[in-house]
Amino acid sequence: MKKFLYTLLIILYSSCQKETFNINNLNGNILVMGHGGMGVSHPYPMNTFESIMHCLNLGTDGTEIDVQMTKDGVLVAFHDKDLSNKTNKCGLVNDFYWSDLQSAYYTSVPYLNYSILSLEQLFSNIDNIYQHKFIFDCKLYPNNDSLFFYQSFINSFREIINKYSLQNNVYFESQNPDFLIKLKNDNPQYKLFIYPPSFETGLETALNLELFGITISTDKISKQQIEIAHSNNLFISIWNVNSKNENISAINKNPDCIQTDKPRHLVNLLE
Amino acid sequence: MQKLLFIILLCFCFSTTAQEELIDKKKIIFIELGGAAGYGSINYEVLVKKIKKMKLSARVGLSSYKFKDFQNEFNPDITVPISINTYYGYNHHIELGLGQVFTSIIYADKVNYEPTRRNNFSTVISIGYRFQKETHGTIFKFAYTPIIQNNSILTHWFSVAVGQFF
Repeated sequence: MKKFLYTLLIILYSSCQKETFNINNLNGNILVMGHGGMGVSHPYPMNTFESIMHCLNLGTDGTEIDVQMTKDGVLVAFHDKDLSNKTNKCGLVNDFYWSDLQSAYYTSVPYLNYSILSLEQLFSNIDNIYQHKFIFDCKLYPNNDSLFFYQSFINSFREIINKYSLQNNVYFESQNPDFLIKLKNDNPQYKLFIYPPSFETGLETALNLELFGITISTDKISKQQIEIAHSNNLFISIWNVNSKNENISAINKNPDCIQTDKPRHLVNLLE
Repeated sequence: MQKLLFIILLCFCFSTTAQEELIDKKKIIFIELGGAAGYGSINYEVLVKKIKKMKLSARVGLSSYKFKDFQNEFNPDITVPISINTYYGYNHHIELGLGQVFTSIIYADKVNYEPTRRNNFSTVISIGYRFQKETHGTIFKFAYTPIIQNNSILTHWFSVAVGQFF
């Protein structure tokens, strides 16, 4: 009986011991970012005010936000291409004026009818905004001429970033190198990430366009590839980190930023 | 229309008929995944009437999506499904149910963006299969449980439940 209790105590003690990590990256620490706020598996739908604020209130460094633009140039936080998958509206965000989207709400989980959020609504209601970082995942789904759309998108970003003086708190990520070039031309100080299909193409694009870094799914990059990126002075942001075990294995790769679906756990790990 | 059906079922439940069999108030406790409360609920059900192979029961449940609000304060969402179920058969039953779900969910207020509780009623219908022995034992059921949220938005939904009849 004594032996059993002793073994039990050892097991309990070892399970309570905090994991330690040897972090060696360009930051000196890892930015803990939520994925659309609380991530894909939380009752709060991603990119809602409730999800983003809950994430920030857990003590994360910030959050990734999927950004789309309405017909009248309002930037809204929404992930999917078509609104019909998760809301009571049907069509592209770019098909609607913001006044129409204010009556839109999520319908994917019964009874949880949260509203669609604009960046203006978000930033005007965060008290300590400068303590947080925001990664804008630019979802470019135009309903007409894409060149005009890109420029309007960039103008809207410039307007809101200047309004809230968020220059040092925001990062941009996009799959589209042309859009990143236009963003860079608009403001060379913007921190831009390419969102590539593979590490190799990401490295090539990031070096050619002199970008800030690469944002990539954790299953498409190894620790060694992150070291290669760091040796080229490129930041690495990884996503698709959707479990507690994946939080741990992501930390062990030494990225500069993790966009996690389990932000509470990652905050506790890196506290 | 749903409210009318619900009232008719309630009247049926509490009326007396000549064919009625006298029964003790048999009880069921079950856990439901999916179903009326959304993701799942714990439930208490009373068998109130038995007429040959036809049974009638009343159920009340309790559930929550989360206990803390977006400011990380204890402020739980509350979901209470209430329904009347009628089922036909011997051990293997076909079940039909109708109910209302009270929801009290925390949202960000549209003016000051502070956590605010919003209360609503929704209608739930249930059509499915139930395995339940006549006197006691484990029960199992699955059903198609469409939810008419706030009595205006239809959501197709399903449920699986296991419990104990005693």
